[in-house]
Amino acid sequence: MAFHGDDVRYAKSFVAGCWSLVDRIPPTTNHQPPTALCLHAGNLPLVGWHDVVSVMRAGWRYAGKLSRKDPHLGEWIRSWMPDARISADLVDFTGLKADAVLFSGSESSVPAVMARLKEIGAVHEGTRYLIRTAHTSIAWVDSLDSGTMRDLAEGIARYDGQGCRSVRIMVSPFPFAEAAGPLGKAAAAFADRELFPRNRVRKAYYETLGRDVLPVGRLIVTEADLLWDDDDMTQWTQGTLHDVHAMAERLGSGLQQLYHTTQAIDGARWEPLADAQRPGADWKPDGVDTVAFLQALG
Amino acid sequence: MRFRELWEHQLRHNPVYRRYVDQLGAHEAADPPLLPVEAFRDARIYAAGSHPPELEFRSSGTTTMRRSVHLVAHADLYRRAIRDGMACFYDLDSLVFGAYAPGYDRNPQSSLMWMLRELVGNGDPLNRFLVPGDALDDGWLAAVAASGRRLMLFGAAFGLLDLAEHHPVRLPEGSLIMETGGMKTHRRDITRTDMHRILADGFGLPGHAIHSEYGMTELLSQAYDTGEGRFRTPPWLHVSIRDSQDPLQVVDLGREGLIGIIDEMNRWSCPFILTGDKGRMHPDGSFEVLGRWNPDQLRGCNFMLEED
Repeated sequence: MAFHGDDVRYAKSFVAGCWSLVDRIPPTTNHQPPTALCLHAGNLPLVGWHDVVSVMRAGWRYAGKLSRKDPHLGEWIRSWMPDARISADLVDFTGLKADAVLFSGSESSVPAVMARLKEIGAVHEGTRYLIRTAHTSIAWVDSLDSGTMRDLAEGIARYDGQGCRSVRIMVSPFPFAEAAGPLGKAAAAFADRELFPRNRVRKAYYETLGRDVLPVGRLIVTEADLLWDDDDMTQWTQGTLHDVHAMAERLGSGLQQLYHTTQAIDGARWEPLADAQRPGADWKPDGVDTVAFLQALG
Repeated sequence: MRFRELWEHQLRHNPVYRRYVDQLGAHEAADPPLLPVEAFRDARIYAAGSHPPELEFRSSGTTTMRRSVHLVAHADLYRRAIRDGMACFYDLDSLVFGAYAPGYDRNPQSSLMWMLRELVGNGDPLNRFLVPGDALDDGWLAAVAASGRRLMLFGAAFGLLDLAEHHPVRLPEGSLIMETGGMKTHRRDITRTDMHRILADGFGLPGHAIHSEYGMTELLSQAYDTGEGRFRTPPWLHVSIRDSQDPLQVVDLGREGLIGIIDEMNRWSCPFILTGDKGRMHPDGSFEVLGRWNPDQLRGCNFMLEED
């Protein structure tokens, strides 16, 4: 599936804004730096640029298996590191013997990935793995003002909701019936996107049951209780901050971020909702500091 | 169009299905749209008008979980689906049935228990329910062997595994194990291949003697894996593999997707069902069941080796 043009422009613009950070990375003084192999996904344009930057900041040598679905990350890396070892074919890393492997993926994919890397000698016996599997983020929505709704629509619909930082669960003191109007208005920015076919089917199903459903970009939002078990949908739950914590606990290692809106909330996973699709260079996917992880290894 | 009469019956008599097709705008579709299986949990699915249901099955689960409810208008239809369905693959007269289903006996509305009672209670004195936790009775096994018939030991996978691990025994030659799944409910993480190996070892049988049944509370019919690792269906049960991104579309042979089912025996509830299970179809019409579909794979920075 091709990326939406607006998402590509958004990602390029955002990463371009981080050039100053890239320029500040000092050249490594280690003549034989260890190698990190990054396995990049292709679910959003430029996804994985954090890992590239983190490898450089740690003073390691970068190697990257790109996704065929995302041509943009490769362009960016080539423009910055013309000699970097990158390829969309895993087999091109045969014999690499990387000292660390960074990747993000579903837990079910982990054994197959590790087995394949060993098979082609891309890793050695002492290789360390940083595997990120979180996939769901929650927003605490304590205001329905237009700015918050704009941020929320962006958090839900940007990249068609396919990022682990995308908002999938909203908890709010307001009922969905009250929020649907303002959120629907904000979602007009994504009105040129058709629902995913699977969401068209889910929308029909929910409407069959008499549920209110709001299309937001290619996704649908519907009201659900705390224990709802349809993990494929974007849900609005009327509740308290306590409920946010309960949901986070229930998600366990599946939780990526928690977002606050009008009131800042301190905590390891909390960030402003406005930053949902603009993670800072010091973002810690799955709560792990990638630079520190690599530096601790050598 | 295939299933035209069945579809029209649903549109006339199943208000939930009718609303679903309305919402999809799919009255002119080439094939009947499949209703998500959770509709049996979320709504009352019934297409037999004022005829009161003769049976009411409920899925297993805790008291806080919402459970699927299958209202069965005609008990005889379920009886036929069980016996005629099995008869497509086995000579029922040559079988002695043993049933081992610990846990399921706590759910009085279990469709599996009803099925087992139907099979075990057919008047054959050799058939029996096995006592949970106990080893198999040597005398009974000897009597089965002496009868010249084959033992089919039928039960939920987790129970059979416990039995195989705690009370291993060599079953009479020619015996079959029929496991009915259910591992997910009991949160035991094991591959199907490993499970079948443990069962074969524990019961002293060759691997091809470990068979599987694929069924669910929401279906009256079952598919069977007779030891080849793939399921086959009786003629009235139709399986297709649907695109997880667009469940109205059937995927190409060999591709993974959601298992879609048309069970003609479900005429009085809903025969058109989209399951939450992942499967793959083979050119000869058999299919594999690859576990539950995991929607988390649709989200997050997924690196999927096989597709990338």
